[in-house]
Amino acid sequence: MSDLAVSVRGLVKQFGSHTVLRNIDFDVQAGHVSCIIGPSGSGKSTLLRCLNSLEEIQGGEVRVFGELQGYVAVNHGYRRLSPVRLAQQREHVGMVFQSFNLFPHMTVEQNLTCAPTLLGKEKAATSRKRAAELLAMVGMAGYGSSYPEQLSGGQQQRVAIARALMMNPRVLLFDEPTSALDAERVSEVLDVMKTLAKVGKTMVVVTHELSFAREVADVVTFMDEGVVVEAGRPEQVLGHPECDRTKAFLSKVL
Amino acid sequence: MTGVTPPAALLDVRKPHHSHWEYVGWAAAVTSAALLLLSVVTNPNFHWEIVGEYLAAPIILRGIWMTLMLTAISVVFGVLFGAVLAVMMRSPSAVLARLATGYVWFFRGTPLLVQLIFWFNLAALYPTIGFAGYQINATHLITPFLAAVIGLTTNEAAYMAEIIRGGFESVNRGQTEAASSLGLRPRQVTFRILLPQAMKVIVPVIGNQSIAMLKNSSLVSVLGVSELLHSAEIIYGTNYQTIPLLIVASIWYLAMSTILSVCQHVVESAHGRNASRASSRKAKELALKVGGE
Repeated sequence: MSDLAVSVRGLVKQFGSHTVLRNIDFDVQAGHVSCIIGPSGSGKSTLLRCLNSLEEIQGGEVRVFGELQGYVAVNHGYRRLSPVRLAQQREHVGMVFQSFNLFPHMTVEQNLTCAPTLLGKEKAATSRKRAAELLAMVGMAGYGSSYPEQLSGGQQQRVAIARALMMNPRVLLFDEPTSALDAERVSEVLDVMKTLAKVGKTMVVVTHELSFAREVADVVTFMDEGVVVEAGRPEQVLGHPECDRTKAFLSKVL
Repeated sequence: MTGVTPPAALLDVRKPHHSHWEYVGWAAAVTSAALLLLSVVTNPNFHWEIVGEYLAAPIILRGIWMTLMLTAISVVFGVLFGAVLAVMMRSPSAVLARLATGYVWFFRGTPLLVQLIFWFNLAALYPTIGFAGYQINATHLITPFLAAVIGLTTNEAAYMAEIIRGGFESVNRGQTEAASSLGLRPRQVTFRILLPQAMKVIVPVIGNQSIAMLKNSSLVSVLGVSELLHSAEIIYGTNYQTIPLLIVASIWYLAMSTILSVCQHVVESAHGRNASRASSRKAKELALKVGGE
C-alpha cells in the first residue's frame, strides 16, 4: 500500500452539475513515470490538479504515500483540511504548470529559494547553493539574477522545474509542460524531464508528447470523457491499444 | 543585434503625417484663452487686489497646513484600513467577507458630506461612550477635527478596499496556484507573491485618490474645522468678499493638486523606467554571457 506513491480510488469531480471525473481509479508506483494522455476535455489536467488538492473533490479518495490528500475522514464522510494543512501537504507534491507561473517580481534565484526559506526549511545561504546546483542541472547555470520576462518559454519552464525540485517533493506533477512552448524549445524541457526520470523521481505527466510517453513512461493512462479508458505499459497502450476509443485517439494524433 | 546602426546612406528623410488644421486649432485655442484671461483680469468685480492681499495671509496658510494634514492622515489610514478590508473581502471566511462587503456598500453608498455631519453629531445619538462603568462624554471626545478625520478615513477606506481588491484580482490566478503548490502558507501567498504584483495596479490609483481627497477635505468646512476653505469662509464672513476669497482658496487647491500630480507622475514613470532599464541592462548582460551560443 505505502509503496504506492499515488493512489486514487473512486474519484468524482464535478464543476456545478457537470461531472468532469467519473469514478477514477489511478495508481503510480514510487519511482515510476506515469503519463496521462487523452483528448482535451477528457479530465486529465483536472485529475492532476486533484492530486495536490488544487481542486476540491466530490467523491473518492486521493492518497500520496498513504496519506489522504485535502481531506480528513470524519464520521459520515470527509471534511476539507484547513488552508494551512493543505499547504503543508502540498510541500511534498511539486507541480509544473503549462504556463510556467514563475513569480515575475523575483529573480530566477529568488523564485527557487523563496519557498524553502520562507517556510524555514533551510538557511538562505544553503538555499542559494542548492538553487545554483539545480539551475545547473536544468541547464540554466548563470541565470540566477535574471528576471523571468527575460527568458524564453523553454528557459522559464526549466526554471519552474528547478523551483519545484527545491522543495524535494516526493511526487512531481507536470500539467502539459511543453504545450505553451515553441516547437524548437520542447526538447530542452523534455530532456530535463528525462534526466529526472533516470534518477528515479516519481512523476505524473499530463502530456501530448506521445514519443516522450513511449520513451520514458513506465505506465501510460488514456483518459476520455472523465474515465480511465485504458492503462498499461506504453508499448501496449500506444502500440497495441485494446479499446476503440484509444485507437481512434491515437489515429488522430499520430 | 541591437545597437548596430545601418550606414547613413540607407536612411531616408521621413516626416510624420501633418494636418494644416492643427494650425487652425492652435490659433482658435490661443485666441479664446487670451480673450477669457483678459476679461477675467480686467473685470474689477473679481477684486484681484483683495486676492493678492489674502493669498499668503497667516490664517490661509494655517488652513493649507490643516488641509494637508487631513489629506495625509485620511489617505494613510484609509490605505491601511482599506487593505484590511480588502484582505477580509478575499478571505475564505464568509463572515469576514460579508462584513467587509457590507462596510464598503454602506460607506460608498451614502454621501461623504452626510457621513461627516453624522460623525459630528454622534454625541446626539450616543451622549456617553464607554463600557464596564467607564464612561466618556461624547461631546468632549468627538471634536470637529476628530469627526473630520474619522469621516474622511472611514469613507476613504471603503474606496481603497475596492482599489486594493482590484489590484489583487489583476494578478493572474496561476500565481496563487504556483505559490500554493510550493506549500507557501496563505498569508505568504498574499503578502510575498500577490501583493508585490498588485502594487503595480494599486500605486497609481492611490495617487488619484490622494488628489481627490485633497479637494474632498474641503467638505469638513461644514464641521467648522479650519482647513483651507473654512479659513477663506471665516475671512469673507467678516469682509463679505466672497469671490476673491474663493479664488484664493482655489489657487491654493490648484497649486497643491498640481504638485501632487507631478509627484504621481514622477513615481509612476520612475516605476516604469526602473523596470525597463533593469530589464534592458539584464538583457545586455545575458547577451554577453550567452554570446557564444
